[in-house]
Amino acid sequence: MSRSDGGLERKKELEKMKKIKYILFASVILLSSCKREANVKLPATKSHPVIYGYICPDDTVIRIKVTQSQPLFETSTTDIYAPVMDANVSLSGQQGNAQLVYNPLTEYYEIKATSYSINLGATYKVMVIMSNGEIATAETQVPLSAVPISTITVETITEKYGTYDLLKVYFNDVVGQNNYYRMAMVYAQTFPFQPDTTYGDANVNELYSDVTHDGEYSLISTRYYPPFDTILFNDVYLFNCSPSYFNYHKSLLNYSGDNPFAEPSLTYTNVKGGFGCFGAYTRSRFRYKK
Amino acid sequence: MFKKLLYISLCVLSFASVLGQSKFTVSGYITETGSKENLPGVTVYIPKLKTGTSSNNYGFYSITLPKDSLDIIFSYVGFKAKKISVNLDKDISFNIELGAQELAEVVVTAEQSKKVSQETQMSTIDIPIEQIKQIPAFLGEKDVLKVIQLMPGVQKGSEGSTGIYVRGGGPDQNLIILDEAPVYNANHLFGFFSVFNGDALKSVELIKGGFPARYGGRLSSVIDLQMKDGNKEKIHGEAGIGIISSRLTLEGPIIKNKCSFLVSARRTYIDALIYPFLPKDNKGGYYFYDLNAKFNYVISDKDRVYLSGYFGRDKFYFRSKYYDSETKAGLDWGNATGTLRWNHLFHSRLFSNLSLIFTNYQLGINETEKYKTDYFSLKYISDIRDLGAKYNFDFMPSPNHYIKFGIASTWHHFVPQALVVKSSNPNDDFKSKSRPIDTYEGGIYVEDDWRVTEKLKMNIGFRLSAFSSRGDNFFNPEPRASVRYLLGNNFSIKSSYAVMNQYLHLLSNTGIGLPTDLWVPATNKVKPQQSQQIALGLAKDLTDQNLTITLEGYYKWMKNVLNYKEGSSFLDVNDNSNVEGQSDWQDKVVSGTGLSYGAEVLIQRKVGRFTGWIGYTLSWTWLQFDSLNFGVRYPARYDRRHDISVVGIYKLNDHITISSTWVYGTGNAITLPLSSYAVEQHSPVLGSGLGYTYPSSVNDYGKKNSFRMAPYHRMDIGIQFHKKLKRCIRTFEFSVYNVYSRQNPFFYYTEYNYNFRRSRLMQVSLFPIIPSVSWSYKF
Repeated sequence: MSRSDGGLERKKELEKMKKIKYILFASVILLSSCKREANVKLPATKSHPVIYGYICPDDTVIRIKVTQSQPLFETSTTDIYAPVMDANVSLSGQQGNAQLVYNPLTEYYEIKATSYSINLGATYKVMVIMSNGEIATAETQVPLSAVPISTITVETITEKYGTYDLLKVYFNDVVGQNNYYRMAMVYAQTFPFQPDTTYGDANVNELYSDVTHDGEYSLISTRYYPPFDTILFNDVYLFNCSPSYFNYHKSLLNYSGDNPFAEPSLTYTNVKGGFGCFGAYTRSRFRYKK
Repeated sequence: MFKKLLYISLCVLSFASVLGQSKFTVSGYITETGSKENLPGVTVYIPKLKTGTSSNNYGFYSITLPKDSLDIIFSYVGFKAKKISVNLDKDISFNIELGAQELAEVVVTAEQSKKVSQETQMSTIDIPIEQIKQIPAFLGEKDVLKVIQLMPGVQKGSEGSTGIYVRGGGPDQNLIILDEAPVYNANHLFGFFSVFNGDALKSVELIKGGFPARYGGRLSSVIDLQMKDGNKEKIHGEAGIGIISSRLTLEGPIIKNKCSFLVSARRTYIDALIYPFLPKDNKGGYYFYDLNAKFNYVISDKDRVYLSGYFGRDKFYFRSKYYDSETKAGLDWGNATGTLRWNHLFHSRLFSNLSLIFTNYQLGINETEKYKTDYFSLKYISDIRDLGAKYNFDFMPSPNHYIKFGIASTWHHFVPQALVVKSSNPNDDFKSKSRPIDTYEGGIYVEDDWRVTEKLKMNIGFRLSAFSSRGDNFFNPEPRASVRYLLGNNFSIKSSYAVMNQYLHLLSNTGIGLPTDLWVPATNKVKPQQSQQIALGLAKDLTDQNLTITLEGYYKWMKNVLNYKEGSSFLDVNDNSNVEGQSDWQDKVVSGTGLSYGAEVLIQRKVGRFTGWIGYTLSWTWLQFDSLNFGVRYPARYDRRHDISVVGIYKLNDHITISSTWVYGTGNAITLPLSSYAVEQHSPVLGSGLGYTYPSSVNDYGKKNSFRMAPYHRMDIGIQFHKKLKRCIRTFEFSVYNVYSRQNPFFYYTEYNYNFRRSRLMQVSLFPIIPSVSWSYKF
């Protein structure tokens, strides 16, 4: 059986390692004597559209987010988190073209799945035309099937630093295909004086690919530190993802920030003429209560 | 038994080759007059037969010639040539002494000097130690590796660094051997100085390609350094005082002409000078020191032993006290090497050397914090240790064949990371040690420098290398060949081919030669590095001008070269490895391929009042990793289109020497952030996407290494005044590093400027114009 374990195995050790990093960094800084603005020709860069969209046959609404990038060496003119509201966003696939409409409440361009359905195995293309005429496009193929979760085990582990749940998700990998999986989780809770159940993202983000373990009975595990004691239940999701979905999320996991001792991590994009990710996935759910 | 068999088989072989031809052997050691220091690489030439040989690394020569009356000329750059006449009717043992040349006598005839056009070996550069001492150096610290960086085909990593990049290879791909012992980290002070103390060195040779079969284990270069043996006749010494360090060398006989020693030490003292001026409760500093020692003993005409060692250490330290709290921190690293060698002459045509080798490199980081009775201490160690043996033979059956063969075996012991944390709170106690790895590396080789015809000469060799690590075994054949064809009297065309395997990897992602770069062995998962290199060149000696000109083109393929995964580093605080039980270094690296090609020109003058060289390199270096840069090949950080170095040394008279160097290099290829944009990870809950996760925004870097740093250029000048005093020669040197104070970039970073509402690219430069003075006394 192939396995994938939670990424916090060495957390403690790494915390200690941080100290070493600072000792080293301080030693290097001692040596740097002179700084000034570099007198070099910087590459010409302009703002580009940023597209995010993760489509799934089970969704009732198809959503695409559009924002803009900000060139670092140019005077800041855009808020990178502000949604672009005046773009022309369209989706094309088997059923032809469809226009998505901006929804100011969700800040996404949207279309109902009843008007434009997402089908297993089909390929879709998103096209964004900005008000200045700039065009960005991206394409993704929906995986051929959803992969059901066979079972889940939850083990509560207490250690010096607190209590966590060791969660293991078991499933049968699809034979004869390159599959890319992500495990995600949603917790549900109610608050006093609020009738509705609220849902929160448990921020579980484990990725696994079957490249060397095709068709095996597989497991993905994670360590989950429950944020509240009043959780009603948890929904564990197994996403069978498109390569673009997987590669993008993988590159975010590798993000090294400002670590001066690491290779700069390049963020994956499948958007032509811009940045971001247009991915597809199928999902299966397993609800558990502790 | 082995010795007997070997002896018998070689005797049969040599006997067969001389049978019926009435040939006899002249052999012996060539030494320097006044010190009896062995002289390697001395040309032995027989004008009548237009043939010759040269002395090996231990100064031993042997040539088998037909019965005749012959003149033999022994010549060596910087020494008076010597001619002897022999009546060859029996084997003769003849030890030769050569004396240094006075400046006024610099007249070397065409026949005497060693000619590059005659050598089979290409891509090889000898650098006379005396020349190294005359070239202006940073803070007056003469540095062998920095002089090597001035040669075509060799690049430095960054400002001031001793990191060496040969023909597109990384700094880990250089086999740096000091008296046969590999040196794993040749840097002091984060690479600003090398560990080699010029006063203790006898010779330095750099091989960039066409590697002879006797060398193996690294892909890109061999830097072979030999320590002086120690004067066998008189006590001599050399002392030097510079801005940052002082050094002292003592050498002399223990038993005259039989047994001698050499001890050389160097230490920086800036820490000691500033220590008293630091506040009492905040003390810190840095120093390095190194110690070279050698002992040699001539047991008989046939047996000699040499024991040599090196020990060096760098140390940063810091101590601070504030009321009841005290912090101590330190960073130290260093090499230790030891070599015991035994030269034995089985026969006048069969020379052997057995070496037992030890080498160790260790890095340590420590920190202690105390507050009243609470304490916290951290200790990190990374260690590599080798024990090895080599048995090498030189067999010289006739002037047309010089056969070398041998066997080498090394046991490597690695402890890549060990971390111990102790604290007054036992909950914080922590101990982790990456599993020590014991590996074995071996090789057997044979090579023949074969004079096929007067015009055609070739060095054909074969090495079989082997490596065993945790049950993974690798065997790799390594064919080697160099061919020289004389096109004219002093003009030749050369070509070479070499396959190299490297079973050790250096994990380095800083590119600035930090001591934290980690050596790890090849494993089944992280395969050995391999390279193939072909080179084609022309060599011309302009004997009237004492000039040599070489032009070479090369093409090198490398596979299984390593790089960190994007976002990984050895201090991987953002470790996201999600595969159980494999969060070790093997998961932080990726292997890929490298390709380097280019052309090099070297115009060099080693003899005369005016010496020096001009070197130019045009090169390309590409790397390709499936999981870096999305699989697209990209230029290596040290890909350097143009690299120029000009070195001039002029002896005005016996008292004054002036020198200057100028270097230019295309800027390093780096990855620069160009723009920033928001991140939206997919969330199963609506509204938890954009900007809610880590990272909330990322940078776009364009293509990997698509930005060029500003070009590097710099000029240094120096002037030396030599004065003969009663009992010593005093040299006073004044030198200026970076004469026109060029602000060369060391690294770039981006800084957001709120006034301009944009980021600015900031450049950190290290060294502006730096004058320095030093004194040295030779007695």
